[in-house]
Amino acid sequence: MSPYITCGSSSSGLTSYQDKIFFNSDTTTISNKYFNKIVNTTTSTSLYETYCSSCVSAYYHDDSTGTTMPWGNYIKAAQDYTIKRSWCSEDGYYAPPVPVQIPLSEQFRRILQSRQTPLFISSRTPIRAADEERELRARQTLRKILGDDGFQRFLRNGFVSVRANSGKVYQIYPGHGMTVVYDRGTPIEKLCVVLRGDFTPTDSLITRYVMIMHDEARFRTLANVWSAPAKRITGLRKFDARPLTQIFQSLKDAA
Amino acid sequence: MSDFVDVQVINGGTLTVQVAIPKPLRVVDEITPPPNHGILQIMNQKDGDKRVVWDSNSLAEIRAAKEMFDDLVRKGLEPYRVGHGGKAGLDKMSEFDPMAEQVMFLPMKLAGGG
Repeated sequence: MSPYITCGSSSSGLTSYQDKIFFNSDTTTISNKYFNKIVNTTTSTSLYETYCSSCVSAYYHDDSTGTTMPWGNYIKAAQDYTIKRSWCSEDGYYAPPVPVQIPLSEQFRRILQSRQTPLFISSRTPIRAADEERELRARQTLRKILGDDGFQRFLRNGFVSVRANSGKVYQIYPGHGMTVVYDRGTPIEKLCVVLRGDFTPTDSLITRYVMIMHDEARFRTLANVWSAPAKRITGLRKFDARPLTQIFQSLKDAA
Repeated sequence: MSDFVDVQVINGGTLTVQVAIPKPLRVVDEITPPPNHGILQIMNQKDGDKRVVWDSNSLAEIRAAKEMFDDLVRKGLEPYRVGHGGKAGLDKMSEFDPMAEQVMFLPMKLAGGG
């Protein structure tokens, strides 16, 4: 079986391209041969080639069975070569694949939409429903202290943030959770202060919240200090930070 | 016989003392007091918090509330005014204010390094 398949000679359902390999200092008979890359979407078989400095190999690969069958192996010691790729259409004419044209308005809409989503998602644990009367009463109290908006944030995020007189922000968790300290948005340490006794988690949070607001120095004196937590930011997303007018102009120029 | 509140006074211990609720005052479950009433809210382990209301138009109830306020401060609890003029907030109190809407007592001395 010849490894040199003429583009478009296979049955319908093929998408393929042809690589023409030019050995730059070739004196043998296999110079300027054709190697086809054929992907058959109906039979899940494909032919692929590998090129290296010392050899050129061609294989058939059956995607359905995962088997690979050598189709030719050509040793070319230390040969330089260049590859020229040509795309084929099913009817045998050479034609590159036509990229799908997304309308300018749609491209711009996607950019605007991507900018409206948050840049990162941090792991937060919403507060579960109170399962005892004492906890329910404690949450009523916390709601009075924080106000409705602040309380909703607490339920959603699972913690309360408070800016102390020093300018540092304390992230307080219910129960025996560590209090995380942020300085200009960067976590710098974790402080462990608990309310001893059989108090509810939210009562413990209230006590620490009040102490930080009114006597930050005392809170820090009581605390066991731990190193800063690892960043909890996940899924940081990159995006084109250029001004929208500039992006729009470049899209128009490209269209 | 008057009602009372259990207050834990020793850090890390189980010892509690009882603070009496003077007779004209009464215990409620609501967190928002009726109009022209104030509420003393004492955080404790048994109930979560005890809520005691006084009528700010009644001299006898104001006197009883002040007596209880001072008693709780002597036992080591710290008083904070919750909210003011319908807004959220928390201010430390140094003395009893008969016009306060809600006063919360916190067992600050029970806080410690974990």
